Amino acid sequence: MEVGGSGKIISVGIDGAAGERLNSLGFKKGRTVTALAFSLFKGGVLVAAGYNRVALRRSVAQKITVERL
Amino acid sequence: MSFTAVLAGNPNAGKTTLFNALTKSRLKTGNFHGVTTTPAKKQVDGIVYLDVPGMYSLNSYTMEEVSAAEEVKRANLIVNVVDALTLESSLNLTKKLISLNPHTVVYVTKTALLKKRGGRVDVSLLSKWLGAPVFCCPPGELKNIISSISEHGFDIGVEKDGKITLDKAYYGGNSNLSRAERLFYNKFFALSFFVFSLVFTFFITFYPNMPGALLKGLFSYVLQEKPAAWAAGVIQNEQLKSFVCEALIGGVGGVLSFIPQIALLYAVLILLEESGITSALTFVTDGLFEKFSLSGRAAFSLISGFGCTAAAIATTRGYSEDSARRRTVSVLPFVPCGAKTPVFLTLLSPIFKNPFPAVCALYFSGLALAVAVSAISAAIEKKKGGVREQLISEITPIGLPEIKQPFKKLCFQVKEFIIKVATFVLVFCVISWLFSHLNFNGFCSPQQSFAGGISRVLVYSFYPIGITDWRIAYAALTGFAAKENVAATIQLLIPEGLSLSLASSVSLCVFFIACPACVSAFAASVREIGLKKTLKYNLLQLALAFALACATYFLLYLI
Repeated sequence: MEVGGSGKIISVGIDGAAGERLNSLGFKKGRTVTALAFSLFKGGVLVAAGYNRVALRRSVAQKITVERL
Repeated sequence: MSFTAVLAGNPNAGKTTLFNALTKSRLKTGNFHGVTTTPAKKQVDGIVYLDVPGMYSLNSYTMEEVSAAEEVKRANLIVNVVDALTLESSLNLTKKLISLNPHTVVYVTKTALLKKRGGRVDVSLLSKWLGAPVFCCPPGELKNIISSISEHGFDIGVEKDGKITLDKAYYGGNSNLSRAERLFYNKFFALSFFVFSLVFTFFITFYPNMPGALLKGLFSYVLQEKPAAWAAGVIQNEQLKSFVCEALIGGVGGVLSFIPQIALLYAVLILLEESGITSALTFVTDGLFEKFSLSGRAAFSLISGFGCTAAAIATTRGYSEDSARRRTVSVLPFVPCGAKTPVFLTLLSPIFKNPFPAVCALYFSGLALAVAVSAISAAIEKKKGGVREQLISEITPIGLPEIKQPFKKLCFQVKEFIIKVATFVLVFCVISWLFSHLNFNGFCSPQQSFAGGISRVLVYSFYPIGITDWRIAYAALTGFAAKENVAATIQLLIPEGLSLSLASSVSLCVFFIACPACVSAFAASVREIGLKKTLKYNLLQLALAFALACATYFLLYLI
């Protein structure tokens, strides 16, 4: 997804405590998320999930499947 | 048994700020996720208030969450502190807390900021939606409510009303990025701004005729020169004169005269944190730290290291991977803390009329050394198949902080520095003076004292960098207790001032950048990674410090 792009979460492919943390931060099936910015070397992405702004490592973000809006 | 009220909630919800208000404490607060790393307890009017690290769930993603969850399970009352700006997602934890312990009240913070962005929260409707009492009141009022619960039991339960929906009780307002946020989430702007603010701070702090240097001169005159001249004129006994002028006024007064420069450095670090810029940097630098198997959270730890190494080590509790925590703890002593400022200035001022470029270079070299050593150890771990630290972290909104909060924090940090100098450094100066003026036969010249005897052996290790004065070797030794001691001991033992060569001065500064930090940092490191690893890292740091100092001396000697 490019900066400013939004998508609807189809699935969050991370289990365990990390998965639960993502859930707590609003990364749930059906929720709309927006990419706000990329970090140096595009290693991380800042995502808006509702009113939360969450920094995610690219490898974590890649496990969240979204349907582009 | 006393009544325990635990303040629990998501990170950066304002738990410690509330704890400070309820208990009149001064615990460290900050506009960053994960400032509180260990539970804090205080008993007031028979009620034990417990501030626990932020948590997102009762599951253990980080060490902080483990300790928080344990405390929550044992509480008589849970005060769930909820940030109004992110209330919707915070309610996941609220629901879990209520089901874990029905004696839970919800306290909503940051409602003024919510209102500012066009949002609203109706606590009465939210109470009915949750089936638990919700408050949004001054801390004093909450304190009365907690006191009443502790005396009469939890008789303020609220019936859940299934007809109410969350959107009736809460609206979050405009969530678009502000202009400042768009700027600071831009990696190039954020990094440039950070470097510029540090250089600017060093400029106004260390450049001649700038506020830092001017105030330093004033403080030196008031706290050191004037009292020393007065004491020298009044006191007749030579030993007492030496004790008062060198140990008390020279040592303690000399270190206290650095207050303006340390305060300026602290002020900028506090403003960066309170405005949310440090938080933005953790995101922006994540791609860089990923190369060293760390996450952007390391940026927060390293920036905190400019203030205090021990406090910076505690921030690593928020890491999800042990290996990343270990590596960060091992490199944090390389980031020059506030206490090293007097050391650098004491060593460099006799050489440079303008110490600004040299001090600037030393601070950035420390940061670069921390990153370089971390990169090397990450490469070694990678070969062994080490696990990478991930980044899943909330980022705080960026905005101008109110003046009151940063000012209070600055006053508190300066006060802590003064207390440390007036207690720990003072005792150390007294011991050092005795140690450097006594031997088995009573009073003697410093050369023949206990300190002289030991340090004449120790100084051989500094011969490769051109240092042959045992007093400097002794000053370096005292730095292992607290870095402020180095400057104090030099002022105490060498009141006439240093006369080192450029190569020796700079090499000694390099030694102080790379050498192990103080005893507080040692204790913090033992708490986080254990004694065995701490000792191992300290020995490696010492070896590296000598090696780098020798290399610097050799290079400068060639030039």
